[in-house]
Amino acid sequence: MAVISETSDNSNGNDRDPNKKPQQLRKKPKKVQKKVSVSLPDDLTEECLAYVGRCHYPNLSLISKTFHRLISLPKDRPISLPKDRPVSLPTLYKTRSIVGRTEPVMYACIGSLLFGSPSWYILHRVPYKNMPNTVSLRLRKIESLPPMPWGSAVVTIGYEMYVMGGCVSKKPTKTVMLIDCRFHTYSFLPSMRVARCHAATGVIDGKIYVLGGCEMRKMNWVESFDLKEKIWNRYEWSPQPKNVSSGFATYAVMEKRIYVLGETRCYTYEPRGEEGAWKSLLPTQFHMNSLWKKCSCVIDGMLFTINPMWMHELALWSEHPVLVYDPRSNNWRPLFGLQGFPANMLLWESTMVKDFYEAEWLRNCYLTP
Amino acid sequence: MSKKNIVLKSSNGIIFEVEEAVALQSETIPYMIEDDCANDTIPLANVTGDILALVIEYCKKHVVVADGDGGGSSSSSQEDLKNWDAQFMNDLDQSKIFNLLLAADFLNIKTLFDLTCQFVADTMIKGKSVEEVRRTLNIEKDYTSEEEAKARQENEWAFK
Repeated sequence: MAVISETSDNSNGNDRDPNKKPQQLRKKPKKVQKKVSVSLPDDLTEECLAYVGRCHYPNLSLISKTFHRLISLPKDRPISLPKDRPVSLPTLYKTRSIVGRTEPVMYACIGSLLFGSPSWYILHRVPYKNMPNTVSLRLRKIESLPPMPWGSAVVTIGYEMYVMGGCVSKKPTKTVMLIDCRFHTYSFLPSMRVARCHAATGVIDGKIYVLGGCEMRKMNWVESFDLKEKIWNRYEWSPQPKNVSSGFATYAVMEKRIYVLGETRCYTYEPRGEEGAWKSLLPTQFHMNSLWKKCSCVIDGMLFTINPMWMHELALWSEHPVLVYDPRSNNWRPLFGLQGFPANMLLWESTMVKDFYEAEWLRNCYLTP
Repeated sequence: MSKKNIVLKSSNGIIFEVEEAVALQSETIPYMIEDDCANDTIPLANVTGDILALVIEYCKKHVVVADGDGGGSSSSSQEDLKNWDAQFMNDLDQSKIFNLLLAADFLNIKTLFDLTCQFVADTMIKGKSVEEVRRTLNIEKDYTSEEEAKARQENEWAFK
Protein backbone atom coordinates (compact mmCIF):
# COMPACT_ATOMS: atom_id res chain seq x y z
CA MET A 1 0.00 0.00 0.00
CA ALA A 2 1.27 3.44 -0.73
CA VAL A 3 -0.39 6.66 0.27
CA ILE A 4 1.22 9.91 -0.70
CA SER A 5 0.66 13.14 1.14
CA GLU A 6 2.15 16.49 0.60
CA THR A 7 2.39 19.13 3.21
CA SER A 8 3.58 22.65 2.97
CA ASP A 9 4.37 24.96 5.76
CA ASN A 10 2.34 27.89 4.57
CA SER A 11 -1.20 28.45 5.77
CA ASN A 12 -2.18 26.59 8.86
CA GLY A 13 -5.32 28.64 9.17
CA ASN A 14 -4.91 29.13 12.89
CA ASP A 15 -2.02 31.48 13.08
CA ARG A 16 -2.08 33.40 9.88
CA ASP A 17 -4.54 35.63 8.15
CA PRO A 18 -4.36 34.80 4.44
CA ASN A 19 -5.73 38.25 3.56
CA LYS A 20 -2.78 40.02 5.05
CA LYS A 21 -0.08 40.94 2.62
CA PRO A 22 3.49 40.01 3.50
CA GLN A 23 4.53 43.62 3.99
CA GLN A 24 1.69 44.18 6.48
CA LEU A 25 3.06 41.35 8.53
CA ARG A 26 6.59 42.66 8.54
CA LYS A 27 7.71 43.93 11.81
CA LYS A 28 7.75 47.57 12.70
CA PRO A 29 11.00 49.48 12.85
CA LYS A 30 12.89 48.74 15.98
CA LYS A 31 16.10 49.43 17.75
CA VAL A 32 19.10 47.29 16.87
CA GLN A 33 21.78 46.72 19.42
CA LYS A 34 25.18 47.74 18.31
CA LYS A 35 27.39 44.70 17.95
CA VAL A 36 31.08 44.79 18.56
CA SER A 37 31.95 41.43 17.05
CA VAL A 38 30.42 40.36 13.78
CA SER A 39 27.57 38.05 14.56
CA LEU A 40 23.86 38.22 13.97
CA PRO A 41 21.16 38.69 16.59
CA ASP A 42 18.80 35.73 16.90
CA ASP A 43 15.89 37.34 15.09
CA LEU A 44 18.03 38.03 12.03
CA THR A 45 19.51 34.54 12.17
CA GLU A 46 15.94 33.29 12.07
CA GLU A 47 15.17 35.48 9.06
CA CYS A 48 18.19 34.07 7.22
CA LEU A 49 17.20 30.51 8.15
CA ALA A 50 13.80 31.15 6.61
CA TYR A 51 15.57 31.50 3.26
CA VAL A 52 17.18 28.08 3.60
CA GLY A 53 15.39 24.95 2.38
CA ARG A 54 13.83 22.75 5.05
CA CYS A 55 16.04 19.84 4.08
CA HIS A 56 18.98 21.70 5.64
CA TYR A 57 17.31 22.13 9.04
CA PRO A 58 18.23 18.80 10.67
CA ASN A 59 21.90 19.56 10.10
CA LEU A 60 21.58 23.22 11.10
CA SER A 61 19.93 22.31 14.40
CA LEU A 62 23.30 20.81 15.40
CA ILE A 63 25.18 24.09 15.14
CA SER A 64 24.34 25.55 18.53
CA LYS A 65 21.65 25.66 21.16
CA THR A 66 20.37 28.88 19.63
CA PHE A 67 19.99 27.25 16.22
CA HIS A 68 18.26 24.31 17.84
CA ARG A 69 15.84 26.61 19.64
CA LEU A 70 15.08 28.47 16.39
CA ILE A 71 14.44 25.29 14.40
CA SER A 72 13.26 22.50 16.70
CA LEU A 73 10.83 21.88 19.48
CA PRO A 74 12.07 22.59 23.00
CA LYS A 75 14.01 19.62 24.32
CA ASP A 76 12.72 16.97 26.69
CA ARG A 77 9.21 17.14 25.42
CA PRO A 78 7.14 14.07 24.75
CA ILE A 79 6.75 13.25 21.09
CA SER A 80 2.97 13.03 21.48
CA LEU A 81 1.60 16.46 22.27
CA PRO A 82 -1.63 17.21 24.03
CA LYS A 83 -3.33 19.58 21.61
CA ASP A 84 -5.03 21.68 24.27
CA ARG A 85 -1.85 22.66 26.10
CA PRO A 86 -0.22 25.57 24.36
CA VAL A 87 3.53 25.35 24.04
CA SER A 88 5.99 27.84 22.69
CA LEU A 89 6.92 26.71 19.21
CA PRO A 90 9.65 28.15 17.02
CA THR A 91 8.38 31.12 15.00
CA LEU A 92 10.65 30.19 12.09
CA TYR A 93 7.87 28.42 10.22
CA LYS A 94 5.63 31.44 10.47
CA THR A 95 8.49 33.61 9.23
CA ARG A 96 8.91 31.28 6.26
CA SER A 97 5.33 31.83 5.23
CA ILE A 98 5.59 35.60 5.76
CA VAL A 99 8.59 35.85 3.45
CA GLY A 100 6.97 33.48 0.97
CA ARG A 101 9.55 30.75 1.43
CA THR A 102 7.29 27.80 2.05
CA GLU A 103 8.06 24.62 0.20
CA PRO A 104 6.28 21.32 -0.22
CA VAL A 105 7.62 18.22 1.44
CA MET A 106 6.43 14.82 0.30
CA TYR A 107 5.40 12.15 2.74
CA ALA A 108 4.49 8.60 1.83
CA CYS A 109 2.73 6.07 4.00
CA ILE A 110 4.14 2.73 2.93
CA GLY A 111 3.54 -0.74 4.22
CA SER A 112 3.57 -4.33 3.13
CA LEU A 113 1.42 -7.17 4.39
CA LEU A 114 4.60 -9.12 4.96
CA PHE A 115 6.28 -6.51 7.13
CA GLY A 116 3.46 -5.10 9.21
CA SER A 117 1.57 -1.83 9.40
CA PRO A 118 2.39 1.07 7.10
CA SER A 119 4.74 3.79 8.34
CA TRP A 120 5.42 7.35 7.28
CA TYR A 121 8.41 8.10 5.10
CA ILE A 122 9.71 11.48 4.07
CA LEU A 123 11.19 12.21 0.67
CA HIS A 124 14.33 13.82 2.02
CA ARG A 125 16.17 16.16 -0.26
CA VAL A 126 19.71 15.42 0.84
CA PRO A 127 21.84 18.50 0.29
CA TYR A 128 25.15 18.09 -1.47
CA LYS A 129 28.05 19.53 0.40
CA ASN A 130 29.11 22.90 -0.96
CA MET A 131 26.59 22.74 -3.78
CA PRO A 132 23.82 24.83 -2.25
CA ASN A 133 21.17 24.12 -4.85
CA THR A 134 21.79 20.46 -5.55
CA VAL A 135 19.98 17.71 -3.71
CA SER A 136 19.57 14.00 -4.05
CA LEU A 137 16.27 12.37 -3.16
CA ARG A 138 16.04 9.69 -0.50
CA LEU A 139 13.00 8.10 1.07
CA ARG A 140 13.59 7.90 4.81
CA LYS A 141 11.42 6.29 7.46
CA ILE A 142 10.30 8.55 10.30
CA GLU A 143 10.73 6.52 13.44
CA SER A 144 9.12 9.06 15.76
CA LEU A 145 5.67 8.49 14.24
CA PRO A 146 3.73 5.35 15.15
CA PRO A 147 2.64 2.74 12.59
CA MET A 148 -0.53 3.75 10.73
CA PRO A 149 -3.72 1.76 10.24
CA TRP A 150 -4.27 0.25 6.78
CA GLY A 151 -6.66 2.15 4.54
CA SER A 152 -6.72 5.46 6.46
CA ALA A 153 -8.18 8.53 4.78
CA VAL A 154 -5.63 11.36 4.72
CA VAL A 155 -5.87 15.10 4.10
CA THR A 156 -3.15 17.70 4.46
CA ILE A 157 -3.73 21.27 5.56
CA GLY A 158 -0.61 23.42 5.63
CA TYR A 159 2.01 21.45 7.54
CA GLU A 160 -0.53 19.20 9.23
CA MET A 161 -1.74 15.79 8.13
CA TYR A 162 -5.04 14.37 9.32
CA VAL A 163 -5.09 10.59 9.32
CA MET A 164 -8.62 9.28 9.76
CA GLY A 165 -9.80 5.76 10.42
CA GLY A 166 -8.36 2.74 8.71
CA CYS A 167 -8.11 -0.86 9.85
CA VAL A 168 -6.17 -2.17 12.81
CA SER A 169 -6.06 -5.98 12.95
CA LYS A 170 -8.70 -6.04 10.20
CA LYS A 171 -11.07 -3.98 12.35
CA PRO A 172 -12.07 -0.47 11.23
CA THR A 173 -11.22 2.32 13.66
CA LYS A 174 -12.69 5.74 14.50
CA THR A 175 -9.34 7.20 15.50
CA VAL A 176 -8.19 10.52 14.08
CA MET A 177 -4.52 11.42 14.30
CA LEU A 178 -3.01 14.82 13.63
CA ILE A 179 0.61 14.84 12.48
CA ASP A 180 2.72 17.98 12.66
CA CYS A 181 5.15 17.66 9.77
CA ARG A 182 7.46 20.41 11.02
CA PHE A 183 8.57 18.41 14.02
CA HIS A 184 7.19 14.94 13.23
CA THR A 185 5.03 14.89 16.33
CA TYR A 186 1.46 13.67 16.55
CA SER A 187 -1.64 14.07 18.67
CA PHE A 188 -5.12 12.62 18.70
CA LEU A 189 -8.23 14.55 17.72
CA PRO A 190 -11.84 13.71 18.67
CA SER A 191 -12.72 10.39 17.06
CA MET A 192 -15.19 10.08 14.24
CA ARG A 193 -18.67 8.84 15.13
CA VAL A 194 -18.23 5.84 12.87
CA ALA A 195 -15.31 3.48 12.34
CA ARG A 196 -14.20 3.62 8.72
CA CYS A 197 -11.70 1.96 6.44
CA HIS A 198 -10.97 3.07 2.84
CA ALA A 199 -13.21 6.11 3.26
CA ALA A 200 -13.06 9.09 0.89
CA THR A 201 -12.20 12.52 2.22
CA GLY A 202 -11.59 16.11 1.21
CA VAL A 203 -11.36 19.63 2.66
CA ILE A 204 -13.97 22.13 1.54
CA ASP A 205 -14.67 25.51 3.18
CA GLY A 206 -12.93 24.84 6.47
CA LYS A 207 -14.39 21.38 6.97
CA ILE A 208 -12.98 17.94 6.43
CA TYR A 209 -15.62 15.66 4.92
CA VAL A 210 -15.33 11.93 5.35
CA LEU A 211 -17.54 9.64 3.30
CA GLY A 212 -18.17 5.91 3.39
CA GLY A 213 -15.68 3.29 4.33
CA CYS A 214 -18.43 1.80 6.49
CA GLU A 215 -21.82 0.16 6.13
CA MET A 216 -24.51 2.44 4.81
CA ARG A 217 -26.53 3.86 7.65
CA LYS A 218 -28.51 6.94 6.98
CA MET A 219 -27.18 9.39 9.53
CA ASN A 220 -23.54 8.54 9.74
CA TRP A 221 -22.40 7.74 6.26
CA VAL A 222 -21.04 11.27 5.83
CA GLU A 223 -19.36 13.16 8.66
CA SER A 224 -17.59 16.48 8.68
CA PHE A 225 -14.95 17.82 11.01
CA ASP A 226 -15.14 21.54 11.70
CA LEU A 227 -11.51 22.71 11.73
CA LYS A 228 -12.30 25.74 13.88
CA GLU A 229 -14.63 24.16 16.41
CA LYS A 230 -12.80 20.85 16.37
CA ILE A 231 -15.97 18.82 16.41
CA TRP A 232 -17.53 16.18 14.19
CA ASN A 233 -20.94 16.81 12.63
CA ARG A 234 -23.29 14.35 11.02
CA TYR A 235 -24.72 15.13 7.64
CA GLU A 236 -27.76 14.07 5.77
CA TRP A 237 -27.84 13.85 2.05
CA SER A 238 -30.25 13.39 -0.75
CA PRO A 239 -30.90 11.33 -2.67
CA GLN A 240 -29.68 8.57 -0.45
CA PRO A 241 -26.94 6.57 -2.16
CA LYS A 242 -27.68 2.97 -2.98
CA ASN A 243 -25.39 0.06 -3.69
CA VAL A 244 -22.24 2.00 -3.08
CA SER A 245 -19.19 -0.07 -2.29
CA SER A 246 -18.14 0.25 1.34
CA GLY A 247 -14.59 1.27 0.47
CA PHE A 248 -13.11 3.50 -2.22
CA ALA A 249 -9.98 3.32 -4.34
CA THR A 250 -9.16 7.02 -4.28
CA TYR A 251 -10.64 10.49 -4.08
CA ALA A 252 -9.97 14.04 -5.21
CA VAL A 253 -11.39 17.50 -4.56
CA MET A 254 -12.16 19.71 -7.55
CA GLU A 255 -14.54 22.66 -7.86
CA LYS A 256 -15.68 22.23 -4.25
CA ARG A 257 -16.77 18.68 -4.95
CA ILE A 258 -15.31 15.44 -3.72
CA TYR A 259 -14.81 13.02 -6.60
CA VAL A 260 -14.78 9.44 -5.43
CA LEU A 261 -13.48 6.45 -7.36
CA GLY A 262 -15.31 3.35 -6.19
CA GLU A 263 -14.75 -0.24 -7.12
CA THR A 264 -16.83 -0.07 -10.24
CA ARG A 265 -18.23 3.42 -10.45
CA CYS A 266 -17.38 7.07 -9.82
CA TYR A 267 -19.30 9.48 -7.65
CA THR A 268 -19.28 13.10 -6.65
CA TYR A 269 -20.26 14.59 -3.33
CA GLU A 270 -21.12 18.24 -3.04
CA PRO A 271 -21.63 19.66 0.46
CA ARG A 272 -24.58 22.00 0.70
CA GLY A 273 -25.22 23.47 4.13
CA GLU A 274 -26.83 20.89 6.36
CA GLU A 275 -26.94 18.32 3.63
CA GLY A 276 -25.05 17.38 0.57
CA ALA A 277 -25.68 15.93 -2.85
CA TRP A 278 -24.25 12.53 -3.68
CA LYS A 279 -24.23 11.74 -7.34
CA SER A 280 -23.26 8.66 -9.18
CA LEU A 281 -21.54 9.37 -12.48
CA LEU A 282 -22.84 7.13 -15.23
CA PRO A 283 -20.24 4.89 -16.83
CA THR A 284 -20.27 7.01 -19.98
CA GLN A 285 -20.41 10.34 -18.21
CA PHE A 286 -17.11 12.17 -18.78
CA HIS A 287 -15.52 8.69 -19.25
CA MET A 288 -14.62 9.05 -15.61
CA ASN A 289 -14.99 5.37 -14.78
CA SER A 290 -12.74 4.14 -17.53
CA LEU A 291 -10.00 6.79 -17.42
CA TRP A 292 -9.56 7.77 -13.78
CA LYS A 293 -7.06 5.50 -12.07
CA LYS A 294 -5.81 5.32 -8.53
CA CYS A 295 -2.48 6.67 -9.65
CA SER A 296 -3.60 10.29 -9.98
CA CYS A 297 -3.45 13.71 -8.39
CA VAL A 298 -5.01 17.16 -8.66
CA ILE A 299 -2.91 20.06 -9.97
CA ASP A 300 -4.40 23.52 -10.49
CA GLY A 301 -7.92 22.16 -10.12
CA MET A 302 -7.45 19.47 -12.77
CA LEU A 303 -7.13 15.73 -12.38
CA PHE A 304 -3.92 14.19 -13.73
CA THR A 305 -4.07 10.43 -14.06
CA ILE A 306 -2.05 7.60 -15.54
CA ASN A 307 -3.40 6.73 -18.97
CA PRO A 308 -4.87 3.22 -18.74
CA MET A 309 -4.42 2.88 -22.51
CA TRP A 310 -0.79 3.88 -22.51
CA MET A 311 1.23 1.78 -24.95
CA HIS A 312 -1.87 -0.20 -25.93
CA GLU A 313 -1.69 -0.57 -29.64
CA LEU A 314 -4.36 1.22 -31.66
CA ALA A 315 -5.90 2.85 -28.60
CA LEU A 316 -6.58 6.57 -28.68
CA TRP A 317 -3.83 8.63 -27.00
CA SER A 318 -1.82 5.45 -26.49
CA GLU A 319 1.48 7.34 -26.81
CA HIS A 320 0.67 9.63 -23.87
CA PRO A 321 1.33 8.26 -20.38
CA VAL A 322 -0.66 10.93 -18.54
CA LEU A 323 -4.20 12.18 -19.12
CA VAL A 324 -5.78 15.35 -17.74
CA TYR A 325 -9.41 15.92 -16.80
CA ASP A 326 -10.70 19.46 -16.50
CA PRO A 327 -13.88 19.51 -14.36
CA ARG A 328 -14.90 22.94 -15.65
CA SER A 329 -15.22 21.78 -19.24
CA ASN A 330 -15.74 18.07 -18.47
CA ASN A 331 -13.01 17.29 -20.95
CA TRP A 332 -10.18 14.80 -21.05
CA ARG A 333 -6.99 15.45 -22.94
CA PRO A 334 -3.53 13.92 -23.03
CA LEU A 335 -0.66 15.75 -21.33
CA PHE A 336 1.47 16.91 -24.23
CA GLY A 337 5.19 17.51 -24.21
CA LEU A 338 5.96 14.91 -21.60
CA GLN A 339 9.30 13.24 -22.17
CA GLY A 340 11.33 10.61 -20.39
CA PHE A 341 8.44 8.97 -18.59
CA PRO A 342 9.78 5.70 -17.16
CA ALA A 343 8.37 2.73 -19.05
CA ASN A 344 9.03 0.14 -16.37
CA MET A 345 6.61 1.52 -13.79
CA LEU A 346 4.02 -0.65 -12.16
CA LEU A 347 1.23 1.74 -13.01
CA TRP A 348 -1.43 0.25 -10.83
CA GLU A 349 0.78 0.18 -7.79
CA SER A 350 2.18 3.66 -8.07
CA THR A 351 1.02 6.99 -6.81
CA MET A 352 1.25 10.37 -8.41
CA VAL A 353 1.92 13.57 -6.53
CA LYS A 354 2.05 17.16 -7.41
CA ASP A 355 5.41 18.81 -7.07
CA PHE A 356 5.47 22.55 -6.68
CA TYR A 357 9.13 22.92 -7.52
CA GLU A 358 8.45 22.78 -11.22
CA ALA A 359 5.24 24.66 -10.90
CA GLU A 360 3.68 23.82 -14.22
CA TRP A 361 4.53 20.19 -14.34
CA LEU A 362 4.41 17.22 -12.09
CA ARG A 363 7.18 14.96 -11.03
CA ASN A 364 6.04 11.54 -10.02
CA CYS A 365 6.64 9.46 -7.04
CA TYR A 366 6.75 5.77 -7.78
CA LEU A 367 6.05 3.59 -4.86
CA THR A 368 5.49 -0.07 -4.88
CA PRO A 369 4.89 -2.33 -1.91
CA MET B 1 7.88 68.14 -9.94
CA SER B 2 10.45 69.73 -7.69
CA LYS B 3 12.90 67.33 -6.19
CA LYS B 4 13.15 67.38 -2.45
CA ASN B 5 16.33 66.33 -0.76
CA ILE B 6 16.70 64.59 2.56
CA VAL B 7 19.79 64.80 4.72
CA LEU B 8 20.87 61.67 6.58
CA LYS B 9 23.55 61.58 9.24
CA SER B 10 25.38 58.36 10.09
CA SER B 11 26.33 57.31 13.61
CA ASN B 12 29.89 58.55 13.06
CA GLY B 13 28.66 61.92 11.87
CA ILE B 14 28.95 61.56 8.11
CA ILE B 15 26.33 63.55 6.22
CA PHE B 16 24.57 62.24 3.10
CA GLU B 17 22.15 64.30 1.06
CA VAL B 18 19.84 62.17 -1.06
CA GLU B 19 16.68 62.63 -3.09
CA GLU B 20 13.50 61.98 -1.20
CA ALA B 21 12.57 59.03 -3.45
CA VAL B 22 15.87 57.37 -2.59
CA ALA B 23 15.46 57.81 1.15
CA LEU B 24 11.81 56.81 1.21
CA GLN B 25 12.58 53.26 0.21
CA SER B 26 13.20 52.95 3.90
CA GLU B 27 9.96 52.57 5.80
CA THR B 28 11.63 53.84 8.96
CA ILE B 29 12.72 57.24 7.62
CA PRO B 30 9.16 58.61 7.13
CA TYR B 31 8.50 58.04 10.84
CA MET B 32 11.68 59.92 11.66
CA ILE B 33 10.73 62.81 9.39
CA GLU B 34 7.36 63.08 11.14
CA ASP B 35 8.90 62.87 14.57
CA ASP B 36 11.56 65.39 13.85
CA CYS B 37 10.17 67.79 11.27
CA ALA B 38 11.85 70.87 12.73
CA ASN B 39 15.28 69.56 11.97
CA ASP B 40 16.28 68.84 8.39
CA THR B 41 18.95 66.29 9.26
CA ILE B 42 17.88 62.79 10.18
CA PRO B 43 20.29 61.09 12.54
CA LEU B 44 20.73 57.35 12.07
CA ALA B 45 22.36 56.27 15.30
CA ASN B 46 22.62 52.61 14.33
CA VAL B 47 24.23 52.93 10.93
CA THR B 48 27.86 53.83 10.29
CA GLY B 49 28.94 55.94 7.33
CA ASP B 50 30.41 53.14 5.21
CA ILE B 51 27.27 51.04 5.60
CA LEU B 52 24.97 53.99 4.99
CA ALA B 53 26.90 54.68 1.78
CA LEU B 54 26.16 51.10 0.65
CA VAL B 55 22.50 51.44 1.57
CA ILE B 56 22.26 54.66 -0.41
CA GLU B 57 24.06 53.08 -3.38
CA TYR B 58 21.50 50.28 -3.33
CA CYS B 59 18.52 52.62 -2.95
CA LYS B 60 19.75 54.89 -5.76
CA LYS B 61 20.01 51.90 -8.08
CA HIS B 62 16.55 50.74 -7.17
CA VAL B 63 14.74 54.07 -7.16
CA VAL B 64 14.24 54.22 -10.93
CA VAL B 65 12.55 50.88 -11.15
CA ALA B 66 10.29 51.55 -8.19
CA ASP B 67 9.40 54.89 -9.75
CA GLY B 68 9.19 54.23 -13.48
CA ASP B 69 5.77 54.02 -15.15
CA GLY B 70 3.99 52.48 -12.22
CA GLY B 71 6.39 49.58 -11.99
CA GLY B 72 6.09 48.70 -15.66
CA SER B 73 9.81 48.40 -16.19
CA SER B 74 10.94 46.10 -18.94
CA SER B 75 12.11 42.60 -18.14
CA SER B 76 15.63 43.31 -19.38
CA SER B 77 16.08 46.10 -16.86
CA GLN B 78 14.75 43.74 -14.17
CA GLU B 79 17.36 41.26 -15.28
CA ASP B 80 20.07 43.96 -15.19
CA LEU B 81 19.00 44.91 -11.70
CA LYS B 82 19.25 41.32 -10.57
CA ASN B 83 22.76 41.07 -11.92
CA TRP B 84 23.64 44.35 -10.30
CA ASP B 85 22.28 43.09 -6.96
CA ALA B 86 24.36 39.91 -7.23
CA GLN B 87 27.51 41.88 -8.02
CA PHE B 88 26.76 44.37 -5.24
CA MET B 89 26.54 41.60 -2.66
CA ASN B 90 29.51 39.67 -4.00
CA ASP B 91 31.80 42.65 -3.57
CA LEU B 92 31.13 42.87 0.16
CA ASP B 93 33.06 41.18 2.92
CA GLN B 94 31.24 39.32 5.64
CA SER B 95 31.34 42.06 8.25
CA LYS B 96 29.81 44.50 5.74
CA ILE B 97 27.13 41.98 4.84
CA PHE B 98 26.10 41.51 8.46
CA ASN B 99 26.09 45.24 9.09
CA LEU B 100 24.11 45.79 5.91
CA LEU B 101 21.56 43.26 7.14
CA LEU B 102 21.30 45.05 10.48
CA ALA B 103 20.92 48.39 8.67
CA ALA B 104 18.31 47.06 6.24
CA ASP B 105 16.40 45.68 9.21
CA PHE B 106 16.63 48.93 11.17
CA LEU B 107 15.77 51.12 8.17
CA ASN B 108 13.13 48.59 7.07
CA ILE B 109 14.08 48.41 3.41
CA LYS B 110 12.29 45.25 2.43
CA THR B 111 14.00 44.40 -0.85
CA LEU B 112 17.50 45.00 0.54
CA PHE B 113 16.65 43.01 3.65
CA ASP B 114 15.38 40.07 1.57
CA LEU B 115 18.39 40.27 -0.74
CA THR B 116 20.82 40.18 2.17
CA CYS B 117 19.01 37.34 3.97
CA GLN B 118 18.99 35.33 0.76
CA PHE B 119 22.67 36.01 0.24
CA VAL B 120 23.58 34.92 3.77
CA ALA B 121 21.41 31.81 3.36
CA ASP B 122 22.95 30.89 0.01
CA THR B 123 26.59 31.61 0.71
CA MET B 124 27.02 30.96 4.41
CA ILE B 125 24.41 28.39 5.44
CA LYS B 126 23.16 26.19 2.60
CA GLY B 127 25.18 23.07 1.89
CA LYS B 128 27.78 23.88 4.56
CA SER B 129 28.93 21.51 7.23
CA VAL B 130 28.16 22.26 10.87
CA GLU B 131 31.75 23.36 11.49
CA GLU B 132 31.79 25.60 8.44
CA VAL B 133 28.62 27.40 9.49
CA ARG B 134 29.96 27.85 13.01
CA ARG B 135 33.15 29.34 11.63
CA THR B 136 31.46 31.63 9.09
CA LEU B 137 28.74 32.92 11.36
CA ASN B 138 31.08 33.28 14.32
CA ILE B 139 29.15 30.85 16.50
CA GLU B 140 30.63 28.95 19.38
CA LYS B 141 29.83 25.29 19.85
CA ASP B 142 27.85 25.19 23.09
CA TYR B 143 26.69 21.58 22.88
CA THR B 144 28.19 18.82 24.95
CA SER B 145 28.64 15.70 22.84
CA GLU B 146 25.68 14.15 24.68
CA GLU B 147 23.46 17.09 23.80
CA GLU B 148 24.61 17.00 20.22
CA ALA B 149 23.85 13.29 19.99
CA LYS B 150 20.38 13.99 21.36
CA ALA B 151 19.74 16.76 18.85
CA ARG B 152 20.91 14.41 16.12
CA GLN B 153 18.54 11.73 17.33
CA GLU B 154 15.56 14.06 17.00
CA ASN B 155 16.00 14.07 13.25
CA GLU B 156 17.40 10.59 12.95
CA TRP B 157 15.83 10.13 9.52
CA ALA B 158 18.01 12.85 8.06
CA PHE B 159 21.32 11.37 9.14
CA LYS B 160 20.92 7.76 8.04
